[in-house]
Amino acid sequence: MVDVEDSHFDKVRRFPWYVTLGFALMMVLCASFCSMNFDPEAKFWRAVARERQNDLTETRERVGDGPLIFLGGGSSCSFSLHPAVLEEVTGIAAVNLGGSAAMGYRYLTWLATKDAREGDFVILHLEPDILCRSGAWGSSLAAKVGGFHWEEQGQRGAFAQEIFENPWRDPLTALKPGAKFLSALTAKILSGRDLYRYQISDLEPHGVLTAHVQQPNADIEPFTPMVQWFDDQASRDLLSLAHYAREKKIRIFYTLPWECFEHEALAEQRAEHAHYLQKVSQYLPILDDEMMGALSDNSMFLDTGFHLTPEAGKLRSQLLGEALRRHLELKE
Amino acid sequence: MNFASLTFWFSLIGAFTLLSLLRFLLRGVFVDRWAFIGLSLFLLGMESLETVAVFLWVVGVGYLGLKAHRRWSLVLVGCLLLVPLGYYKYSGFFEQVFLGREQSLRLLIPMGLSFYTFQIFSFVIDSRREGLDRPRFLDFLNYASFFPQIVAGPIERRSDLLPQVQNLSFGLKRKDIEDGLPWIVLGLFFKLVMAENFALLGDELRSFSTNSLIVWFDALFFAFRIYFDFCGYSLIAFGLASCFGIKLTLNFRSPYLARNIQDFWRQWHVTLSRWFRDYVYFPLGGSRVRLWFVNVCIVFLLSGLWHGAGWGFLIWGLLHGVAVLVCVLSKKKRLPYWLAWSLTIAFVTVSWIFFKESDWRIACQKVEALAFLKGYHLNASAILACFEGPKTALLAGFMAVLTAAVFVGEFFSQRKSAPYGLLLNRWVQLLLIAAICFLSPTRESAFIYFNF
Repeated sequence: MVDVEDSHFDKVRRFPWYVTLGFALMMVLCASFCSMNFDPEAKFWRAVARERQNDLTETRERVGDGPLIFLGGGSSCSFSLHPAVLEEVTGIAAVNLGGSAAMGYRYLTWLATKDAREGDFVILHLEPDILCRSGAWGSSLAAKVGGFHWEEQGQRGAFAQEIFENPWRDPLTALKPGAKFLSALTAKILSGRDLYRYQISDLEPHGVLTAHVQQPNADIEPFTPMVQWFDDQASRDLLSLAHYAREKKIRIFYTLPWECFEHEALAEQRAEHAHYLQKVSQYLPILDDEMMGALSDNSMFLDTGFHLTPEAGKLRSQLLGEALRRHLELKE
Repeated sequence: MNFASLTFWFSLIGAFTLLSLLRFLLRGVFVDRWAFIGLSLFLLGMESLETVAVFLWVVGVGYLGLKAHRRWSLVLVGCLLLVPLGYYKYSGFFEQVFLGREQSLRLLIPMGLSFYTFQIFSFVIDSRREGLDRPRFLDFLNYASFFPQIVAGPIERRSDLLPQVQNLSFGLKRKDIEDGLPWIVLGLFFKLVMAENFALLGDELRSFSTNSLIVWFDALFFAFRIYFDFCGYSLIAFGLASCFGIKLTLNFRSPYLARNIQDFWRQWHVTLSRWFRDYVYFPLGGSRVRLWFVNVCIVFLLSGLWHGAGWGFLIWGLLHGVAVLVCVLSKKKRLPYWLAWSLTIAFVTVSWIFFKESDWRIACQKVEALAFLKGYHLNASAILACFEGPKTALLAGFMAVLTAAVFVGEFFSQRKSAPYGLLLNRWVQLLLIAAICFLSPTRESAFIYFNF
């Protein structure tokens, strides 16, 4: 039993407990400070959030009491949806509030809905990965980018409470740099590469991002089964979102991002997407087009198989606008 | 009861404060015992009510079993104790093996079931063997539910833990806290920095192919991960118990420095090895019978089965059993330390493949890939190609340096006969705290051994 003799304990010289705990607290604060201030990705997205907030204020002023379209989702939304085109087609002003996949489903939906008022439209342009497997993405980046107003969360019901299951725990866990982040930063510094792939100068009016590289070949995906990802958690998340939309009288739609797949997989992938959209449609109305989220022409993509070129993005936005218009006409 | 999650620590502090207040209001020795039971059951109940219900069943049967004096009644108690374990852990596997159909039930094993079942089992047997009195129910419940060790051991024996819990005091003493804190820091470092980063590295390896290097990296990362994960948990349990003035068994004693498989099992999950020795190996006749080697194999097969219901676990157990036999039979041949150590660590690493892979056929393919010499391309670009990108390769390099530093620390501690002693040094502790805050990944994950 007692393998470690008492004499062993006595031999080990220790600091008083309050020194150990005090040092731990100091280190937690230092780590959080470094994490917040030296993470180029978080810095970039904070700058993007500031710019977009200004853009949103201007657009609100411009449309007065009229409705707005909020475009939300991961980076596929940021790079592929052009609010100006959408406004041209639907006659409703739009803003792009897309973030990064690493922020996770809950933060991205919060970002897309937080400023929506009665009568506004929210279009969730979310990769199935983010919607169904949000557990796989940490909330670390979301905590670093932040922007939460806790006092307002109480009024937002179950949906807001679920954004962070535990408001004090998640940010505390998330605000650590981590060995992976530090080694990535070191690798970039050593190789002389940019600390983050995108710059704030890549942000265009109405919140659209663009990349200056085109290398999608590595991201052409084979057939990917995704219906199996749609689990109870995804159902619960969507149910609570639909409930929130009804409560606040905003209209939330779902649309599938366009992704680059191998040509041979196209038909099967589109069928899979149709099946997946059927599941989502139990909770939210769908805006789809004939592409069904799967393309094989890699010249339409920028630096990943999710980020469309400006031309492809405009086409995508036009088709999305038409789908929304059709939906509204049908309702009327 | 995940020691690596903030929820656990906040719940522990909250519940402890509340119960201390109650204890202050209602003074008395019984209050201390009830307070401990309340704390332990509250922390266990945070998992699920089912977990508590199953635990109470095992405790109830165990306590009634202490009254059993006839052999048949003892056998009945043993069977009833094993009912939950059989149902939750093995029913699916046996359904697959004996009925030849897919598992109809995929049950979540209640946390700590294998550990506390074995602990109570040993209590019942020891009490009967040594003719000991039945303790008061409160003491028995505290023995079975003592929260630092209920979910993943160490599996303590009656003579070791019961006298200590009979004198439990719910209060905290400064000396006890300062005794326990270094172990908790070391345990958190092992779990959060070492195990979690190795888990991350394992996830970021390129997917399995016949590339021997990838298989090696995969096996090595898992070998380090499982050690730091389980040892980390055990050290935190040890430290937490020390904070309350209870000394538990140190369940790990630098097993990866062992020079042979026998030593490895004396240093890895010490209390489980002792359990199998005392309650299976010795009753079978131990090494005094002619077929002693069969006994060794039975013990290791059962050990494999204890870890999980699957062919992979059985193969893993059998491999270790055979390795122990080889070790016993070749005892006279003394190899240089470095060679013996290298062979041991290589064997242990490769055998983990069967432990890790749920499909034994994939495990066999991986082992085959290791034996296939064509698969080895030992140059920088081939090594880099195993990882998702240069940043992952850099992380792997960094973790290799950190692991080497930890093992050097363990080596010199062991030479001073003070397991992990150097890592408990107060200045090293400050480094470990800084490492936990800066190097641990942002995700939270449970301990691997919770699955068992």
